[in-house]
Amino acid sequence: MRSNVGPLRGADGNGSLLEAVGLAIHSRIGGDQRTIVRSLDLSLDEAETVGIVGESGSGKSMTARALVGLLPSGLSARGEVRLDGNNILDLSQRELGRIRGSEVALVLQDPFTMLNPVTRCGDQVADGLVDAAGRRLGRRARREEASRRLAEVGIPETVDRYPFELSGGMRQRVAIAAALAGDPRILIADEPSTALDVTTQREILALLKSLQTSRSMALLLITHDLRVAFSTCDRIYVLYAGSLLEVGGAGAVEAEPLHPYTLGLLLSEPPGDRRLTELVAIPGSVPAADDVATMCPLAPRCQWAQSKCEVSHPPLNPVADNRLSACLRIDEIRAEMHSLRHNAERPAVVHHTAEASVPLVRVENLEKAFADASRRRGSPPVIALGGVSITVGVTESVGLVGESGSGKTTLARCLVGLETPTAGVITIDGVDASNYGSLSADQLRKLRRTVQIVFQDPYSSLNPLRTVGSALKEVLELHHKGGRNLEGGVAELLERVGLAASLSRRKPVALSGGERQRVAIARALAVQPRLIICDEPVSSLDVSVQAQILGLFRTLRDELGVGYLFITHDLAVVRQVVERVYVLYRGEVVESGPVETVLDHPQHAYTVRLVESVPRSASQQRPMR
Amino acid sequence: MTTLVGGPRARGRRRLLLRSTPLTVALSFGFIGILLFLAAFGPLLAPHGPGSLNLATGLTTPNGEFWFGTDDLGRDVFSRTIYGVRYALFGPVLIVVGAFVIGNVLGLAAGYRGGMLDASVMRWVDLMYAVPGLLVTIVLIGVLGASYLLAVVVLVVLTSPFDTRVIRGVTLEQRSLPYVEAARTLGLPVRAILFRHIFPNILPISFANAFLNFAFSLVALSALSFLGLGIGPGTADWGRMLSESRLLLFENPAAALAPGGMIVLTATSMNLIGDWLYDRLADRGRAR
Repeated sequence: MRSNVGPLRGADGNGSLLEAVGLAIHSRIGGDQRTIVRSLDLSLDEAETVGIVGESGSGKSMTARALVGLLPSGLSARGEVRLDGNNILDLSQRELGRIRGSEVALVLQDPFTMLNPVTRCGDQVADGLVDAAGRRLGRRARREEASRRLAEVGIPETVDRYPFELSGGMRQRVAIAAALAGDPRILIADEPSTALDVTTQREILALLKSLQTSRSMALLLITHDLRVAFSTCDRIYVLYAGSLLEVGGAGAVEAEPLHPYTLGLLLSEPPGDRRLTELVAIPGSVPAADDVATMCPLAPRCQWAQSKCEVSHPPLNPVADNRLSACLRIDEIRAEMHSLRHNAERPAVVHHTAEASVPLVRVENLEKAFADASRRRGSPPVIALGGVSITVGVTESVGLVGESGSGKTTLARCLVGLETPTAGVITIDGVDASNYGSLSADQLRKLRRTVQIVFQDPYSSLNPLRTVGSALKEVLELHHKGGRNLEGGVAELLERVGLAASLSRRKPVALSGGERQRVAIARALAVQPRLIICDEPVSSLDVSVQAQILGLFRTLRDELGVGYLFITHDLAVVRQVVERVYVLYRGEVVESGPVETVLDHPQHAYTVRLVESVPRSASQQRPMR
Repeated sequence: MTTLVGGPRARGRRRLLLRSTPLTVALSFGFIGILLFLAAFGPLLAPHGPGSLNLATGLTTPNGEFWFGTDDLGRDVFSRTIYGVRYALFGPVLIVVGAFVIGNVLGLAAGYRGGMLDASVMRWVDLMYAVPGLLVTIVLIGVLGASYLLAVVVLVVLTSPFDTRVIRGVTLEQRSLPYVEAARTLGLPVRAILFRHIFPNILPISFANAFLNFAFSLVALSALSFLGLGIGPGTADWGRMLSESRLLLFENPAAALAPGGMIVLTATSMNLIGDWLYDRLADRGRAR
């Protein structure tokens, strides 16, 4: 590939700190070679923040690892990664060891496994430090240096503590301090905030950005979230199925994406400040790089694809000032894309089901305490729910918002009888469902046909050994005793959730994450419930697929009149689906009301914090407090 | 790449010292295949009867007519080894099947139901673990009289706690997975959840366990026969043959080495196959 990065250098333009040219990554399993990254050109200047944005399977994490010579075994990189006149890909492990930490450092996604659990935080940070003469620091000097470093990331008090004593956000701060210990010129952060709670996410991103500015180091941020990239980065690379589709300045890309994929990704991420009339999603799911090797990678999913898109792999071409796009038709469709975006971002009016509608589910003062197995007998139990009261009306959609540990999942599990509450009353359609164990078979059957649940992880919510068809048939059989046409029923269910009837012969392993979640929804629909509890149903899906599933929830609601109890940490998501929302904080409802009132005019301090944590673009970002 | 929660289940099983390679597994299958063939058609192939005495010949070393030589009563060691295959497979298979049924039913029920049932089943398991198995067997059989059937029954009782404990563990793990919780929420009867959903998913472990049990049972039964507590004297059982020929080790080593070698080879093959099977089945439907 020709090197086309010329016009894309940062403002100063004199030579990049790190430059990848024609970087290709392949995996080899047995004799089977697969492409992870096809060919990628990338440059990173001093003191610049660059984002690589892509969904899972795009190859973004492996790109980050290749840049520091840390590819897992079985993967190999070709091409060039230039740093100080060296090609990183040619260096020996020993030479790489010298570069890592002092030139380039890496922060990974999961703060829970990144740190050594039996080493104090101070030691993790200061372990490799040497003095000016290259000698290892003495004990006292090391401790001083460690507290100074930890103070830089805002947690000086953790020097003598172990990682397991810290929260996820604090661990991520320790990991960042450790990565910065060698004063690297480049920091590569791979999804540094994804595993954290929303409110913590924003703090970590702000911390990274402020460290980048104060140390004037270069930051390469890998993320799946365009909004995070827009709010943090100067320039953005959009990666899809191993190919770059668009490159440009963050502001310019946000103002006008010049590739249909970027536009689709942008529109797939629901905005936090309004409800959209229609959720535009990219159909299908991310292909493997090799399946789209001889065409535009997006062609199978692109509404503007023509025959010329399907005959060759389009190169990145300059399309505007400092902008590259791999779309062959961008000049023809630019106006159309613009109007699509304009239409898609129109806010919708939320139709409220009358507040006085008959309650279907009523929860009063629900309490749930778990005995803490890790502590000694007689110690106080952990309170998951401390007196929660909510109601869900017939055909109403209600959101339950809160961070991990807020008790929202426990409440859902109590509602369907997977947990038995310690105290309080649950009434579902007139049946006292506080203790499922004491109900008669008839009452149980009635409850099962009223309330169903869809879980978060689509990979484990289907039995891996049974076909989709048999999973659905089993439920149909159970609830409509020997209905005449089971096959037809299965096909109808699959059609309802937007899947082909032929999928019924497949096992879950042959389905993508989005397809599995659709099957899980179809299974819940099989009993024709009046309320579906959705426990984070889209949070483990890719952004483009997330929008499809949210759209499906809205369609099902319009067609079947089913209500939802929608549990999520994502305010933007909840806004698209529900009318009323409860905010849960440490096992208690701290605020409730119509969704736009609560999100636009939050009253409780926690809700305010939650609302502020939604990533905004640079232009909208409110100052940090 | 965004990593998703979950991931393949950790392989919670110790690797055998002898790693299964494609070659050793193929050899094991070949060997067990030959055994099955001999169990079916052995009597047609064996050149002599298992008990046909040939006192005139007496003890001989391997030769053209008697491939493994003869023992002190002039019985053909080769033919007796072939006849022994039936005993070597029959007893352990009974034990394995018995332990499999008991272990899976108790393990599934205890792991899924929990509570009192779980507590009582597991205390029984603990008790059986604490009992020195072979010693109890020897005493029991000594008191009740030597009998092959009794030995098999006692070994079933001794083996099933091991199965129960393993199955209960994996059931507990499956029980908390969303697919099982979804089945509960959908109102599926417990029986369907246990046998249609959980059981197929833990089958690889039950199966691998059954093969390991086979090896253990074969050795245990042979040991009992060797001690004269299993099968009656004169029977063409490998353990019995080993015991009766051990004094002939210097005159005709083949008389003792043939049954002994068969025991070792059979047990090893079963272990290797069990391991291989586990790896194959455990990956079924797991890949993303």
